[in-house]
Amino acid sequence: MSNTEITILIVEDEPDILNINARLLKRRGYNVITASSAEESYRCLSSVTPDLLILDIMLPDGSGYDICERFRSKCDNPVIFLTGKTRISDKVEGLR
Amino acid sequence: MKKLVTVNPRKKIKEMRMRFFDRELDFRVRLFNVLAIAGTAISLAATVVNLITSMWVSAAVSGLLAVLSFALTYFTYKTGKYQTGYIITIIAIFMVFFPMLFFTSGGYKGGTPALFIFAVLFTTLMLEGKWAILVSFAEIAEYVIIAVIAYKNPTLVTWFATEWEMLADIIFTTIAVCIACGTVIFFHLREYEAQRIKLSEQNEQLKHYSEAKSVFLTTVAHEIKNPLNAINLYAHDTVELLDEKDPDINTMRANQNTIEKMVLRIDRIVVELMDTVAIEQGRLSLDLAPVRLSHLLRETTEIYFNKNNTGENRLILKLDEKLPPIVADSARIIQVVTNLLSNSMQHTKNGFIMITLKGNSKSQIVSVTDNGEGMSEEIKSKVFGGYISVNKEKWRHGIGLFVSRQIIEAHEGKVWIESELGKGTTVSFSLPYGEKTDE
Repeated sequence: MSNTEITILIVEDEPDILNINARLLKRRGYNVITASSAEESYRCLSSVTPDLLILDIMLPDGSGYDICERFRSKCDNPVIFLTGKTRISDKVEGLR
Repeated sequence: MKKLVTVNPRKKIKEMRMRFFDRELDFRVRLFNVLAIAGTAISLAATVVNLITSMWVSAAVSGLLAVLSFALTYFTYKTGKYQTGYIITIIAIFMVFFPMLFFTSGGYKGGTPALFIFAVLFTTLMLEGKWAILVSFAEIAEYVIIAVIAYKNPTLVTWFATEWEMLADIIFTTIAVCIACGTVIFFHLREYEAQRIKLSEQNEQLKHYSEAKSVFLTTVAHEIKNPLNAINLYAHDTVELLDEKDPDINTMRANQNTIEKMVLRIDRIVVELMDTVAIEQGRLSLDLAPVRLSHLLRETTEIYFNKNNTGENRLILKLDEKLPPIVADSARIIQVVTNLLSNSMQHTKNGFIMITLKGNSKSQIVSVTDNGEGMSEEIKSKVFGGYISVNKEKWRHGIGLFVSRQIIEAHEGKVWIESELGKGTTVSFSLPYGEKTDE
């Protein structure tokens, strides 16, 4: 599978971080979709099943954990949390 | 200038009570005051009893004791030299007067030995460490020796003439000593209890403070980590672009701008941190000069807005240009305004941000209004409290608003917030004209 066939959804509310991550991944040939809120991510997920989900945990209208849970009920594709949270409890929460 | 001096006896008594028994005073000082005043009263009573029972020598000794107790109370009250007061009490009263009283009123066949118990108790409480032990042992030794001397040389003692006189003396002295010892123990226990409660309260506070500090440190670390991450990614992107055959100069320039913006964000966090520390140490200083708020607001908001408008918002300025200059620290006011603007911009997308300046006879009022996310009642109530009470998930603006409020309050002004979830937020502050409002 070449990179162009891999679709990545990035959910991040801070535009600067969202744009640069999208740009760097696009340059590597991935097919990148972006969402800047939980609501927007649900809209994307209803039409596309990304091969990789990159999530911010703290979003203005919800939590990355909730998006992950909904994604997990649909498929087993990998999820990466993009966050400043580094405590063990945060990692456990992400793995649930 | 005429000065009216009125003496209110009730006020005077209250003042005396405060001066002698106030809780702020050291435990020993209060105890000494209670006992010295009680001692004066008891000695006076003893003098009267001795006069009635015709014990002339004892009456003289008790009278002298009353005078000495009163003199000690007065001396310590006037000079505050309590340590000297304790030592005089122990040497003059316990080690000289009590033995004299022993020989002049009935020896060991009377109430005086009860006084010795009180003397030793008082000594151990008033002196510290090894002195308490040494002096109380010296007293015990002295009392044993004089008792033996009295037994061996009965002629040295003025014995009570009748059983009745002896009984009266024993009853009187025992009651006095019981009351005195009871008072001492009561005070001691009450003090101990008060200290215990205070200590547990302080412990609770320290625990809360320590928890708040860890939340704060984590918060600040996150706040700095986000822009640092962005700087890292944008710098990396520029490096990758440079490797390309035909590098996109515009993107590289945009990257540099973002990096600069992120550095400024970190810089602001650091300045706010330094201000928080300055506020906590009470050394937030203002550099005051007349300033025209309409000019300051126009310049500051336009520059800041154009540089940071990532949310596609509109800026609306409604500034009353006719208002006179006001005395304020312009750098600090700029700091407050950019903080409020930054908060509004981070929580508003495709909306508007409006800056209003109005004035009344007492002050000028600046408001920053947005039609962004708004905030819940809970967060609204905590938002100015600084990191201590700010909700963990919404810490982003915790320090900024705390610092802003302190700056406005240092100008004698007020800050308030109106906000509704989903509708937007207005944060306003007032700056008074200063001396004109002083009435």
